[in-house]
Amino acid sequence: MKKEKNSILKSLRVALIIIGLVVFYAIGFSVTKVNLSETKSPTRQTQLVRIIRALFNPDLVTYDKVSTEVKSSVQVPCKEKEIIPIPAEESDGPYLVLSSNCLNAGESVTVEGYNFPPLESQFVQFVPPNGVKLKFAEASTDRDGYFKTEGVIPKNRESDDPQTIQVTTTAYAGNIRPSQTVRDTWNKIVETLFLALLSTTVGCILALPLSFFAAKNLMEKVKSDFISISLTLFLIPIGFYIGIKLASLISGQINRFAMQGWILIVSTILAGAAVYLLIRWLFNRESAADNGNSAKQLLMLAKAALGFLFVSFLYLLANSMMAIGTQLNISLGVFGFLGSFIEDLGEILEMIIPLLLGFSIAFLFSSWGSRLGKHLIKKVAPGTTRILSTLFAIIAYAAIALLLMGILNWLYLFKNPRIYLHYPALIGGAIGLILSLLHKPDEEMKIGNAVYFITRMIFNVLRSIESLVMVIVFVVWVGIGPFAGALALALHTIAALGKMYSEQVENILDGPLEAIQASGANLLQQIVYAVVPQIIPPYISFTLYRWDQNVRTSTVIGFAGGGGIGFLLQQNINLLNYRAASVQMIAIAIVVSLMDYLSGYVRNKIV
Amino acid sequence: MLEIKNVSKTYPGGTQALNDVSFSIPDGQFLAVIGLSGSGKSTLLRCINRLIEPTAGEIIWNGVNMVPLPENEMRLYRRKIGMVFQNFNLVARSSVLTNVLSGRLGYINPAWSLINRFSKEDYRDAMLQLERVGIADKANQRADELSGGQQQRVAIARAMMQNPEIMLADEPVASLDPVLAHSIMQYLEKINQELGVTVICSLHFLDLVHRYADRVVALNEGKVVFDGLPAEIDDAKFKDIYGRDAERVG
Ligand SMILES: Nc1ncnc2c1ncn2[C@@H]1O[C@H](COP(=O)(O)OP(=O)(O)O)[C@@H](O)[C@H]1O
Ligand SMILES: [Mg+2]
Repeated sequence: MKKEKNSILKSLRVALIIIGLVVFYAIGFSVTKVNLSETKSPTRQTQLVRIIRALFNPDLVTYDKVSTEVKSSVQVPCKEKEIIPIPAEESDGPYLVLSSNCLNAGESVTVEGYNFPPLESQFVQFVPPNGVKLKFAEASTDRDGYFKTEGVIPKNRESDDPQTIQVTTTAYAGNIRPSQTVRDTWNKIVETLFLALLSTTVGCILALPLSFFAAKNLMEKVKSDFISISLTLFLIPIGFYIGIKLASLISGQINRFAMQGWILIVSTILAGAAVYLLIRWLFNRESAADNGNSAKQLLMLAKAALGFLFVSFLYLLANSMMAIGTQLNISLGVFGFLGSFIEDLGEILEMIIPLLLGFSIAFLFSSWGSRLGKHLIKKVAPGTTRILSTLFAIIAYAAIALLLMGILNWLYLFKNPRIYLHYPALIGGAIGLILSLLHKPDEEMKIGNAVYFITRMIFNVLRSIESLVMVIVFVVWVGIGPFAGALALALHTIAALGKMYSEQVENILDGPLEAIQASGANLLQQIVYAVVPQIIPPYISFTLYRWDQNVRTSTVIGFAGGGGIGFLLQQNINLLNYRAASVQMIAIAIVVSLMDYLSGYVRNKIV
Repeated sequence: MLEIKNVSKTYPGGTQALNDVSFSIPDGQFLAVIGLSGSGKSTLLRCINRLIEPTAGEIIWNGVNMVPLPENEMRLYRRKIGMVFQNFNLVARSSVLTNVLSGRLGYINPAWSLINRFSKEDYRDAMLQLERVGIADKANQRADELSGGQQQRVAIARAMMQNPEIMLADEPVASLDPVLAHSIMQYLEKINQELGVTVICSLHFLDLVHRYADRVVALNEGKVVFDGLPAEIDDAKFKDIYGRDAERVG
């Protein structure tokens, strides 16, 4: 009994599923506007045929052409009614035969042409003595290069001098050359390949360090006690801010000297040498490891000096690169682009120094924060630590809330300070208070998991936005062109490669990592010595694969304004210039399949 | 003196790998840990240097309980505890020399290791350690080009770079031919006898235990079922350790 009921239910369910699917696909057809009668309409079909023919007839080559004028003289008006003899028939060259050479205005004359290029339109012209070419008649040649047409002698062109009826015909001179379209396409393909290369390189360099933050097996080892987390949470933004300010201070001091030419370059070299020597000295000092108090202070001082020197050196280097680049750009002529490359690199360096310094000082502050936290836990009475912990937590979470709200305020421009100042500070502080009541100051928190989660989330969000969409924002920022495309592709590459890399990190053998950890290495050292060597082959393989994909995307990113071959293709499609578009499609197909083959080949070789 | 007091470990899945394990090891002893596979030997060894966090208990070394130490302080103790593994755990794509040098990582400033910088003394020590285990000529080869026995010797050299006071060896010869097994065990014996390093070595074969160990601790399902001299393992004890169906061979 029960079984029967079950089977009825079962078939009912199947029926429901089928009905559901039918409805589902019906909706699909209606929203995609499936329109079969349109596909059968004759006008559409002829258009389709035309486009397909154009696509299969790409504008690849041009021939050198020579044009010859085939003439036959006539007399207007016809005074003597005397027939000028028709020139003798030439068997190979094109020639004209007129029904009469002696004509009056308004009379019509039959023009026959022989040995013209077959199957072409020919334009017959009437040329009076002043040389103006008047339209006379039009005809198409047949397969044998013969045409016949009729024209009327124009009025008011009477003259004593002989006049001519002529056809200008072009003949191929035999030299085949690539067409202008092909040359344009080649230039754009080069642009496309470099666009892909640049964005892959930048993406891969930035994705590499970020991928460690998105690897669960590494991040779950990162733990910290509650009080240290609170301390670092608000010390990191402060450190970052100080770093950026410090960078602009140092760069201001350096620019004050306004060094130029040799002086700039020499001081760059001197600064570099000083950095190198100081590093060497520090290294030997550290290995010697005499742990007196004054020695420690000296070391601290030396490290601070090293930091300052290093940043100065970087700024000097950037300035030198820009100066050298500008000079080379002028003096290298055709290779001036090398100069502007160096100049751009210098400029990029100058742009990232503040970020570098910001991150470094933030890192320094965070390590001081956790040291201070540990110190408080160990050396200070538990009650005091507890109170401090609560205080720090309130400050830290309020600061974080303010920071987040600051971003939202930047986006939405709330006018009310309550919304962007008071509420977030209160709510953040309350969260901090609650957390500090829930967790003891020395409670170990798996902070790494939070970092892992946030990094993963950012990767996933960025990855899900196609670079074709991202490029729209960048086009607004830096203008239409390959630079916008490169930026969009690079951003997408960071996210995509970051995710892939981090999965590789998660797949490494645990053993070597365990062994390096057992030797007393810290997490950074474990990454450098046990993780990196293991992930090099898959990293290379994924990076190549990504390059392949980026070439693919950069062929179409021009559709959204991102430069490269897609830009040209879109223009030609809009101009209904399908023969040119066909060339670009072929070029894309060749490049994509070549890349596909090449990256596959290299990957097989490496892995 | 290393004291293990009431150490228990329950894995997140619910497996209780160690159940109230207590014993202490005087400095300079060669201790063998035996038991069936799955009895908790690896877990015990990893709890000592806290590659695995014990769920309960204390591990007291020279008066300091290492269990509650934060990671950055545990690091300083870990570098005095060398470890070799059944699968050698070398970094396969790195050179033998780099593998050996990585034993120094606990001692040097992490910033230097980012640029792969070791001091001249470290290089000299690394070559010395490689000479001791007889494979100095392989220093620049990739680690995975070496045979199993050679890899384990590299692993010993790496552990010795730490200047260890304790050497943990987790079935160091289980993946090796019996002949090679003795040569590896002899290195451990030498370290123990000449340098006075405490060796804690988990082993599978009783003949190795008889040959090399001063003392035996046997585990069964995470519990200590025997603690004494190798010679004291009679047939009854043997069945306690390895179960009723086990047959003593050799
Ligand atoms: N990472 C782990 N997660 C869960 N269970 C584990 C893990 N490692 C080991 N175990 C379990 O703990 C027990 C002891 O394992 P182990 O210490 O490796 O024993 P032995 O080294 O003596 O073979 C076994 O039952 C094993 O399945
Ligand atoms: Mg084991």
